[in-house]
Amino acid sequence: MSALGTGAGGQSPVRRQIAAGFAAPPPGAGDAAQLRRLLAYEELAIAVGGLALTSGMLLPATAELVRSLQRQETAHARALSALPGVTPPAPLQGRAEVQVALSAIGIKLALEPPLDERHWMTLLAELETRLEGVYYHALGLLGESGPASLAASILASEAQHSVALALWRYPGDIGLTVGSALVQGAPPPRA
Amino acid sequence: MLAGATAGLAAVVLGGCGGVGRATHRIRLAAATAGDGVLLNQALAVEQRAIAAYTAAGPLLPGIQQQAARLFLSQELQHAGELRKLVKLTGAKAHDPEPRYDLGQPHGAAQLLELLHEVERQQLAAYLTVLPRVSSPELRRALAAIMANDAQHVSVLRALQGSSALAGPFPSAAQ
Repeated sequence: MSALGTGAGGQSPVRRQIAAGFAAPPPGAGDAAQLRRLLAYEELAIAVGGLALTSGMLLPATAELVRSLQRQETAHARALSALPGVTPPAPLQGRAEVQVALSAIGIKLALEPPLDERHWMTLLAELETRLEGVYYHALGLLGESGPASLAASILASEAQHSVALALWRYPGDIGLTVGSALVQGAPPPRA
Repeated sequence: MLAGATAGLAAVVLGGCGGVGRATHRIRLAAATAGDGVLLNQALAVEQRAIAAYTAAGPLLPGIQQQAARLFLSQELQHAGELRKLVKLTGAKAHDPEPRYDLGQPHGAAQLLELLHEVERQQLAAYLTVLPRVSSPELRRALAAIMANDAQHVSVLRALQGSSALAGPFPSAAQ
């Protein structure tokens, strides 16, 4: 059985560890715990982008867009990692661990069989909505203005990612590109 | 000169306070300070200038550009409505729109889009200034939700101008 396999006793330790990185910190956990959760989401976005880019399914122009998104997610992750007390999570290893992480944040799309280009872009768009949601949620809890300002700036960047992906998915439909006057994303799982 | 004549716009803005916002913030502002009201009014003033710009420029744009301007105007009105509500919650008086805005002399779609782009950049700059200075996480979150939508407007305007929708990883007034 792989390290990810589920034994008779329930979830494997690796599964539990991955899921824990995306869970809501307990009340009063402090800014660092909120920021670590945001970093876990960024690392997941980077990992999914990497899988998309190595899938061989993206046309060159699409791949360039995904590379641009990845560069920005990497910049977000670096900025979060630079804040005091924010330790990066263990890197996600391969498709199976990414699948566990996606499930932990409520995305049920199976990565097997290999996705085609449109499915990858749909997955990335769904992921951006989750990123918006977790940043919006964290902003209501971050006590210090410095980390909150960074989180607000990254929320705005994730919202721009959603636009870029929507322009790819729905060319010419502005209403679907910028759907809401208040960017709040999808609420993150509670536990 | 393209001028945003807003003598009658205050009523439009107030209308935006009512039912148009699908998502609204439920905020307890027991700890809000008088300084919060001043800061929120700064953001509101910039939103009101954006409303004037979209009101004046939108009808002059063609096709999908006009469609975008119309949508963004409705969203700016919602932002103004949200901000007015927040200002009132702090106990301050909400800033009224100026009677007139000097928006320069843009000619043609390209210059009109650049005007709107510049107005959105000014909004990003205002939110990036105000957001760290308000007193509560709830207010920061409310402002961030609005700023993120304005950042989306910037992305679409960039795309309509033939640039990449994505600029830097941290939206700023330079985008």
